[in-house]
Amino acid sequence: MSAASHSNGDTPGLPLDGRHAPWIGEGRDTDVVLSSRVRLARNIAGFRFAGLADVDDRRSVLEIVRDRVRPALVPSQGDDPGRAAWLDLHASPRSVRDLLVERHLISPQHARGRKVPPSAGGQDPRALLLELPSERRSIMVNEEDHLRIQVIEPGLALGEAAEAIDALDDAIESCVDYAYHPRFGYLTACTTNVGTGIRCSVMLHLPGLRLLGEIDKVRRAAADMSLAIRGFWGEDSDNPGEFYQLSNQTTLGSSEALLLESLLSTIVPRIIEYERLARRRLLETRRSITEDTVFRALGTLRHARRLAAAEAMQRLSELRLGVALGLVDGLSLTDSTRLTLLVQPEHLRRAVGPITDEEIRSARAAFLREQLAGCAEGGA
Amino acid sequence: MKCDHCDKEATVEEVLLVGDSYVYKHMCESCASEVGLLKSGAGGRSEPTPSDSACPRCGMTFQAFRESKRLGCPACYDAFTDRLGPVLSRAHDGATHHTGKVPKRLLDAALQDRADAGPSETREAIARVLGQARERADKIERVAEQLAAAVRSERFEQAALLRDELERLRSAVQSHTHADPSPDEAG
Repeated sequence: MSAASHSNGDTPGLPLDGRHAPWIGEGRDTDVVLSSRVRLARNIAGFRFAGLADVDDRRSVLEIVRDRVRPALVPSQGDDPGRAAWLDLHASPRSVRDLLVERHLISPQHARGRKVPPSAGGQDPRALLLELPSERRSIMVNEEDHLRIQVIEPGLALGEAAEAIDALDDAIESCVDYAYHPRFGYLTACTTNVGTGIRCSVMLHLPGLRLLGEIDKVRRAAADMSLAIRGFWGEDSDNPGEFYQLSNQTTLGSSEALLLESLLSTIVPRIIEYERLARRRLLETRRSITEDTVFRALGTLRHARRLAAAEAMQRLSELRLGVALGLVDGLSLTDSTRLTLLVQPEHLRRAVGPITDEEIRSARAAFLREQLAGCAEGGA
Repeated sequence: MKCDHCDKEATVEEVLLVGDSYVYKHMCESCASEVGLLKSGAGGRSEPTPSDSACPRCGMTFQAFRESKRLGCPACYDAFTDRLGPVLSRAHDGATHHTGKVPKRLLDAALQDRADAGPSETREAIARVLGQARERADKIERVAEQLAAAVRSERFEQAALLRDELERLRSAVQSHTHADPSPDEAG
């Protein structure tokens, strides 16, 4: 066990590129399912929920988690045990917090924190406990709930993620007393999370269904099964590219296993099947339109001189479709996913050095030209 | 939201417990007065309003919870148990009870209490804590209702999905009950 030395302020050792982002990598069904994520909402008994707790309470929760839970995150076994990095977000610069939001390791709310009057210290005590270098397991401390535990795996691996989080939850439970109620289950600040406190989600790339105008069918099917589908990079109206997140909405009245089973045995395989079918139909019945979309995207990404984040994401999504259809050579599916992360503002700054908001579009276009230099129209 | 009886805006919500589930009625003030839900003219309710008592632990009131959608502390769940029922039912597809994971220390305690009882009673105690059998039955009922609704409104793709789900749930129950005479152990 080698818990990282306490890190305040900047974050030495935090990976600066997309290599280790846990939701990017090889896995099952990655042509459609980019990654799987399970999170648990947990609170420590004897304290008010983070929203109503005073600063002293929140500080106590922080200390309990740092001292007792942190050793549970990375057990001392294996050749490369990794380490548990502790990030005091109230003492971290905004650029680090933005980076973590882009990596989907903390929520925008957690990055912002609550307003705390100067008389109470002016800082909202909150943290991120993060397994490094994998970033696979992490815990937000003092977000809406005391603990928001998360496990992410690339590809379709909800079962594996659920197993890992269950084991981590057991390990944490042996160190702290959770707020639990025989009737309501694990108690959470918001009643929409109470019970299991579990949220299972898959991140999906659905350009085929979108191009065929069938995304609404997926939406209705999800709603009918009490699942929520939303944009991975923002709300519906502001979600460039066809990246979606599908997750369970109810947390009470079904066991974790049953929730997982209904996602895994019914809706997710069906969506994968429909998306693949849609892609085949695009090639068979609308080949020239599809090729036009993909190669225009490639042309833009390889030659544009200024690119806004939204446009870059949209074109990368179309390029990823081209890779999946075998229309594009010189780029892997994983790399095409990685680029969607690397073009985000804070990641871009880490890659190319300090740039102003004015310069960011040019820097993004230049970065993509360089990254996609070896990428060309394929022979399929 | 429109009044269930006329076209006016609904301002009164009545929540009824029918069997195991909650039924919501929405009415405008005049229709609510007609059915005796509101005292006409006075604008007050026919029954005395329960005082908006605060959580003894953190001071949160139910009104404040309704506004912020966040409870103050774990004790709020006990302080507002009755009034949380409809809130939970609406958020969780009719469910009001937890049937999932139980902290190990509680399971261990259940086992400890039953240490002197027979193995079947021990199994029962654990199954009760886990609530698995009831959960399956509830879920089957709910999916069957959703399936019927989907067929009624001719959403056949949804119906196909729900039918698969229903078959899967039923076969899971059967295989468990077949393998073991005690259905409480299912899942």
